[in-house]
Amino acid sequence: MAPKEKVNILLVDDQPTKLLSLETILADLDENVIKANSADEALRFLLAEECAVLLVDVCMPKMDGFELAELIRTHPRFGRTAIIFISAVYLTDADLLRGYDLGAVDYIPVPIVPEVLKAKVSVFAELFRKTSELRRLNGELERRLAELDRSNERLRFADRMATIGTLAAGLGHDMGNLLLPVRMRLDSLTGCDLASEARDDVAAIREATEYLQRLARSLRLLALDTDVEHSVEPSTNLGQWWRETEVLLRNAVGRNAELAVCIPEHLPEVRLDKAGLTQVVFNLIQNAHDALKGVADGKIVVSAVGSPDEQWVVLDVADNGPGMSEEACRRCLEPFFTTKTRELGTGLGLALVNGIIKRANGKVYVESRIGRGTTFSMELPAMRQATEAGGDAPTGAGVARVVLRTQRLRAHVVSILTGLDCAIAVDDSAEADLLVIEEDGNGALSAAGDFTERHPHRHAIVFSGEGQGESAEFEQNGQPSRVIRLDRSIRPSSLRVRIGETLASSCRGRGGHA
Amino acid sequence: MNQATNVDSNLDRHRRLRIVCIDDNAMIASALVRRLESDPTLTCVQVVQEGNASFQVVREASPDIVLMDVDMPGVDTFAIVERFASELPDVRVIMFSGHVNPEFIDRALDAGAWGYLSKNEDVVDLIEAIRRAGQGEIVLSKEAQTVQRSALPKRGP
Ligand SMILES: Nc1ncnc2c1ncn2[C@@H]1O[C@H](COP(=O)(O)OP(=O)(O)O)[C@@H](O)[C@H]1O
Ligand SMILES: [Mg+2]
Repeated sequence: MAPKEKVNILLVDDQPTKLLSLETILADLDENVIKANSADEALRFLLAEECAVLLVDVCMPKMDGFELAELIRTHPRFGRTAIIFISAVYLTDADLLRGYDLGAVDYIPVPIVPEVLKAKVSVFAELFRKTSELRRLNGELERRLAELDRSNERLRFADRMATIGTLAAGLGHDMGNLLLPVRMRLDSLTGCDLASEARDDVAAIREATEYLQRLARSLRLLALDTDVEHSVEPSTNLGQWWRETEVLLRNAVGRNAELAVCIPEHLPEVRLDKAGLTQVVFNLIQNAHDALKGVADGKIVVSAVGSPDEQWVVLDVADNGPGMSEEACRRCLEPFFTTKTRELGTGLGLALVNGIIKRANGKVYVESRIGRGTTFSMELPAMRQATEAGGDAPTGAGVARVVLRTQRLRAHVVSILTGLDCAIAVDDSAEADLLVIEEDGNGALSAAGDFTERHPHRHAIVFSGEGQGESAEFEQNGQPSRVIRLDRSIRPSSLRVRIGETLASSCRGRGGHA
Repeated sequence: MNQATNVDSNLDRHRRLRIVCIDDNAMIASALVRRLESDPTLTCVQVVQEGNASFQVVREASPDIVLMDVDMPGVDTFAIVERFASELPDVRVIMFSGHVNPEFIDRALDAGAWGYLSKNEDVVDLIEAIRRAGQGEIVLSKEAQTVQRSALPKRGP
């Protein structure tokens, strides 16, 4: 059995000798025995510590035992302390005890019979221990229940998000797919000779279709982890983005609120595509605009600051509208949470915002005060600066000279190089960082050797006959060769990797694009 | 892009580019036919709505370009593309899809496709890409290009 937890037993008597004899009797019980010489001292102790049993002499100067008990009983904090009166007078008068909760009050006549005293005290001490344990268990149970409740709610939320994500992605894809024939037919119509009214119709349908296409795209974006959507440039210069989207965003605000913008020029780029960013800010501005209806000096402020270490950019959209309730603050990012009427709100705006920002490895924070306004802050990861981008493929880098006869191979190489922002040199007068050449009895290998010898850090790729293994590199004066030999039949995905690597080392060697 | 040296002997520039469309969705297939036919430089010679039947049709029609939906129920479209590439090397297959992700693009190109286009692309760009594939280019729609770019393998310094 676990060692019992000792409880406090407080002895109150004005005569030290009596205290001592009580203490001796109770020592057997192995509890904490505390002695007090007066009611005052007893009270002081009770204020500091919980007591299981109070043994009190009825006859004391200043405040007698009954008065002390009265005081204790009116104080809820001491409600669990049992009181045992020690009285020289035989207490036949039950009236004295009537005011108390009888279960926890008792008396012992003098002379004290040690066995009786021990028995009574130990019963109360045990009772105290049991109730304490019960209370602890109860508290634990409540805590566990609350925890369970919370994780249940999280689970339901995650479940709902997953279901909605799948649903949204499926819907977005189907919608996108079906919009294709619509758009194609519209496109065919544009080439036809139409009456001006019909032309207007076509234009209107096209406009509606474009809207639906954006919607389909948002739906696909709402899915958190189904199809990976990297459909647009994943890096955005905020200043440039603002110049491009200002018209659209100002339109969302209309005339009844002012839109102020503070985006410093020299912020690092953020790791989020322009379309995503537009969608985020558009939704936030729209919400702010909705919130500002009927507010006299409505103002929306879009601002951005970079963190000192240039790792983050924080983008804020703030309004001085009516603010949000505690519940709205807590739940606003949930899909379908809305406080607006059916026509106005879908409850999807902020869920979408949250999805986009999360996908970009950022975070959304809401700060709102009733009557003061609301600020949505987005912490966005900044792009690494070009000077640190050592290991990455060069962007906007390099010139390659491509001398390939096999059309398909040439097409792949050109497509890959173009994808790496590498220019293709048209004639051999141009300074190339990389030579890509094909062996067909034309001395390609020695041309590649010449090229790498003339240009100390540059590389050459030589394609040769099929069936001799995917790639072979050979040593050149102990150095890893800068002539890379690849098989003509190399798979395009591997080719892309090899070209990327080779171009990167060539450009690094040149020093300009490290 | 430099096309000056793209000598495509198979293709007479004054004849229409002959295209076979493979898509299980009838609405998409018929709209494709209509759009391709409305272009004086293109013609849609066949439409197939069932993946498994497509090989036979393509062999007989012997088109310049096959435009092939990636997601068709019950068929491994990448395997079909591989078969086209090995048995009918003069036919250029372009895969197109509403799903644009790096795995699909790599699988398509490795299987021998001449391009990967997104169904969400602007129609004009789509048509232009088909034409460029006809001239011997590997074509990736904007979405696909960005996907590839962001999926570049990470290398040490
Ligand atoms: N700027 C804001 N001021 C006050 N409340 C807001 C603001 N932005 C969002 N909310 C609250 O969050 C809810 C959810 O917003 P959202 O997800 O965009 O859906 P919707 O706008 O369709 O209701 C809104 O209904 C509104 O109660
Ligand atoms: Mg909204």
